[in-house]
Amino acid sequence: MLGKLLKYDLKANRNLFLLMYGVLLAIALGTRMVIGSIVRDLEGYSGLGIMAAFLLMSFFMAVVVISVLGYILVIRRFYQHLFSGEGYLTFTLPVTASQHFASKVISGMFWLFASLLVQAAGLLILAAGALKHEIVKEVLGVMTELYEPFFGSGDFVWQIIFAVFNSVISLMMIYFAVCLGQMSRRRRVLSSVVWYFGLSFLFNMIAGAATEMFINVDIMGDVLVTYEIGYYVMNTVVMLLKAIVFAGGSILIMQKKLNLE
Amino acid sequence: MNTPILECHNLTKCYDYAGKIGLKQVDLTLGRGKIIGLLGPNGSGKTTLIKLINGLLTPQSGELYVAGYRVGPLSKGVVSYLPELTYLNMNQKVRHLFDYFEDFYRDFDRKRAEDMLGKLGISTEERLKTMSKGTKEKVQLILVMSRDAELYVLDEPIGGVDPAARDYILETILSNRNPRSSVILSTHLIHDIESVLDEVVMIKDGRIQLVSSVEEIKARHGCSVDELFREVFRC
Repeated sequence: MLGKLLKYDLKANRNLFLLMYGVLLAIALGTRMVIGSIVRDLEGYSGLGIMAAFLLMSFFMAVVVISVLGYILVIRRFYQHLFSGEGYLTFTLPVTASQHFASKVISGMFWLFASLLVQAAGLLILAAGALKHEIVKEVLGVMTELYEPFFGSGDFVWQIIFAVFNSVISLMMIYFAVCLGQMSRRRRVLSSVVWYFGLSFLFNMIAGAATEMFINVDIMGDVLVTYEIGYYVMNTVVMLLKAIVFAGGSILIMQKKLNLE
Repeated sequence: MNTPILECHNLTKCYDYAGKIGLKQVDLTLGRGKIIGLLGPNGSGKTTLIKLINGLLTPQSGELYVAGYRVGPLSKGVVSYLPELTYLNMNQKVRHLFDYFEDFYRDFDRKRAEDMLGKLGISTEERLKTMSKGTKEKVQLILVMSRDAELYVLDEPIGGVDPAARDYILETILSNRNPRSSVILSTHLIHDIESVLDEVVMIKDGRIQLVSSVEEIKARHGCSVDELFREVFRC
């Protein structure tokens, strides 16, 4: 049944996601072509330069929109399919609560990661063959600067693994907050938002306390995190704790506290 | 197959607000192969009981078995539920809904559904959002009655529809259930359904007032179910 649920969860927002990806890639291609023209034809530089700047801005706006809208679509699917009128059909399917939850997490992560890949593809299109050009160089320079702390620190593979699991757990926390919000009699959406901030605060405190054990201050007064094995073990424990609380709590609410009124 | 289609023991459902009680210590056993009217005024607990049967609400205490199963995926596989509201995604075509039911319910008979739809002149390519309210309700009924379920639970299926549609709905229910299956039909329009009922369950303020066959009511009280209802629930 999980496979069938997944099929419908993936299909639910497919058209909207594909449309967004198409727009982003089209903007990236357009920008790339304009930048290419500038490189080839320096006489028309000023007019095309304005267009390139506009397209480049549109591209980065599209990247932001896809990130934000992606989350909104995934959360909306979770809420609408389970807790709105559609829930009357969803919860009368011969399916367990854990299958519902798993399907929503897998399909949600699929679209969020697909969005990341498409954004990366867009950046590659922008950069392809134009690495010598000043504009692209500058953009890449800014990007490198932004992501340097992430790529440059600690064990890169571990960091990637943690980033992936943290994304999954972040989505699970949102779902858990939605489930907790459903237990309120009124203003369930607002209640979900309040729960989300409450959970974020609580688990940030826990994660902060766990990380504090591995913080050192060097002689220049700079704060450094020691990326030793203990740090990864502690992070894994915190992640597992979060996963158990968020997944277990959501499934328990759907199983034992469901109140579709 | 000898297990009752529905068994409730000491079933209680309280709503968290204002101390409202949906059901109070309900004990109820219903046999198979019958059309049962769940009768009571608004707010009496009919929908609460129906939602508990379908696992859409969780009780505070008590036990509930459907066809011998505790409420869960197994019981949901044998219950076909028609809620009061429209629970379908309005953007979908009827064909997509048939695919959905076919994927999740082993007992869904697509041919039967297509035949019923064809008789109404509705195309499987039509989207729900383009249909009138009455047509949407009929499509929903067709989906529910195209399953070969052990129990059909229909919440106010004839409420708010015109007499012609009422006849269509009752005809669809009667002609599509198999004799072994049971139908629980909640309504307060007793006069319209009395002729099709085998048994009635009357409910008031979350408590069961009466469980009886229609024949027994006539024999014992010398009146119709409608008349008895008016007497029991007189304001």
